[in-house]
Amino acid sequence: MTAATSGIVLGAGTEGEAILRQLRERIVRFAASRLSRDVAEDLAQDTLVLLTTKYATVTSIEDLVPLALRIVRFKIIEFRRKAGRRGELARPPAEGEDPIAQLADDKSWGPEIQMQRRELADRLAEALRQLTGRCRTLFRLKLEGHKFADIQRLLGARTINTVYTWDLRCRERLLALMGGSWQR
Amino acid sequence: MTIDPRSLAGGHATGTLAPEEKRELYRGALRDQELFDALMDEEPLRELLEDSVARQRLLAIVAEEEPQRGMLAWLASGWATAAAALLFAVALIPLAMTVLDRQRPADDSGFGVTRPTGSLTVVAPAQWAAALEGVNTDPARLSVRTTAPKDLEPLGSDRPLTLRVVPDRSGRAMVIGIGQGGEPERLYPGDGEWADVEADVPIDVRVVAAGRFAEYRLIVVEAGADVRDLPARVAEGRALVLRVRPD
Repeated sequence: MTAATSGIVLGAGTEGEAILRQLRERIVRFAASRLSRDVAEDLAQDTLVLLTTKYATVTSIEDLVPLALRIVRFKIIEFRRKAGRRGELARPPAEGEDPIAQLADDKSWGPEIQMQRRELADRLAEALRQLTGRCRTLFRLKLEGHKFADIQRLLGARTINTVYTWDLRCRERLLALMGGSWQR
Repeated sequence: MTIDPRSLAGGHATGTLAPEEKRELYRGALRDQELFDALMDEEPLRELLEDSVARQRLLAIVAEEEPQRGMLAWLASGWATAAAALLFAVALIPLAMTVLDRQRPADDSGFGVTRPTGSLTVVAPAQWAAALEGVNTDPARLSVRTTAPKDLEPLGSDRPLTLRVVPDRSGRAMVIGIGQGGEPERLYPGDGEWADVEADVPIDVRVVAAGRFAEYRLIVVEAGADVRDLPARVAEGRALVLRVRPD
C-alpha cells in the first residue's frame, strides 16, 4: 500500500486499513442482501483488490468511498451478466481495461442497462414535474451545480443545517414520487 | 457543528457536497449500513446525473414554472378567509374591531378599514401600514405583529414595498400577493415554500412593484404543522390568515 496524499495511509494498522475493513463489511452486507453471501464475499474481495492495486493512489475517504460504490455497482452488473439472469447487461471489461472508465462509456452498456437508465431518466423527469415549491427550487439549484453553502445563501436559510434538513425532506419527497425507489 | 451524515445523502448523486461534507457523509456510510445501502441504491441516479445531456434535460424540467398548486389557488380564492370567518367571526370581531378602531387614522386618506371577514382582515393603505404594529391578530394560539417603515409607497404604485412581520411565537409562515386578477404569487419565502419563523425574529417581505398586487396575505401556522391540510386548519382555527389590501 502506498502513502496517502490526504492524511490517510492504506496500510496495516493505519486509518486506511480501518477504512478498508469497514468498507469490506458494508459491501458484504449490501451485496449479501441483493445477491448471496458467497457472491458478496467474492465481490467485496474483488473490490478491495481493485482499490488497493489499480486505484492504490486513491486514498482520501471522500474519493475512496464513492469509488468503491462505483466498483461494487459495476461488479454487480458484471455478476448478473455472467449469471445470465437478465440476459446481456453490459460488456465485460477487456483485460487490463479500467472498469470505471468502462462504466463511464455509454457504448459499453448493454441494451438492458441502457433501457434501465432511460427508464430511470423518464421516471425522474415525471417525478420532478410533480415536485413543487422549495423542493423544486432546491433540486434546480443542485442540478445547476451549486453547493449546499451556495444554496443556503441563495435561499436565505439561517444555517446550513436548515438546508440539509430541507434537502433530506425533499429527497424523501422525490423518492416517494418515484414510488419509493430509484430503480424498479 | 454536528452534522447528521444522513442529511447529506441528497447531495451525493447531484455532486452538491463540499469536501468536508463528503468526509462526513462517507464516514457516516462506513458506520451505518442503512446509509451505505442508500448510497449504493443511488448509484444509478448518480451515473445518470453525471451525463450532462440527461442533467440538462432534468434541469429544463425543474426550471419550468411549476403548475399552480391547489393549496395556493385555494388561498387566493378567498375561501380560506371565508372558512375562517364562519367559525371565528363571532369570537374575533370584538377583538379585531377594537384593534382596528385603535388604528383608524384621524385623517381619512380615502382608504378605510373594513369589517373583519377572517381571523383578522386589515384593509389599509401602505402609508399607514406602520399602524399595523402591535396588532395581535388571533387569540387562538397564533399571533403576529406586523410593522412597516413609515415611508412606504402607496399600494398601487410600482415602487417597492417592505412589510416586516414579527411572529409572537415560532411557527411556519408564507406571504402571498394576490394580483389584480386574483392570481396568487408567493412573496415569502423566496423559494415559495413555507418558512420556519422564530418568535420575535423579524422577517422582511420585500415586494418589487407593489402595484401588481391587490392584496397581501400572511398565513401562519404553528411550528411543525403539516400544511397539506391548510383548508381544514383555517376552518378549525389552527392557521392565521392576515390580509392587507388597499380599499
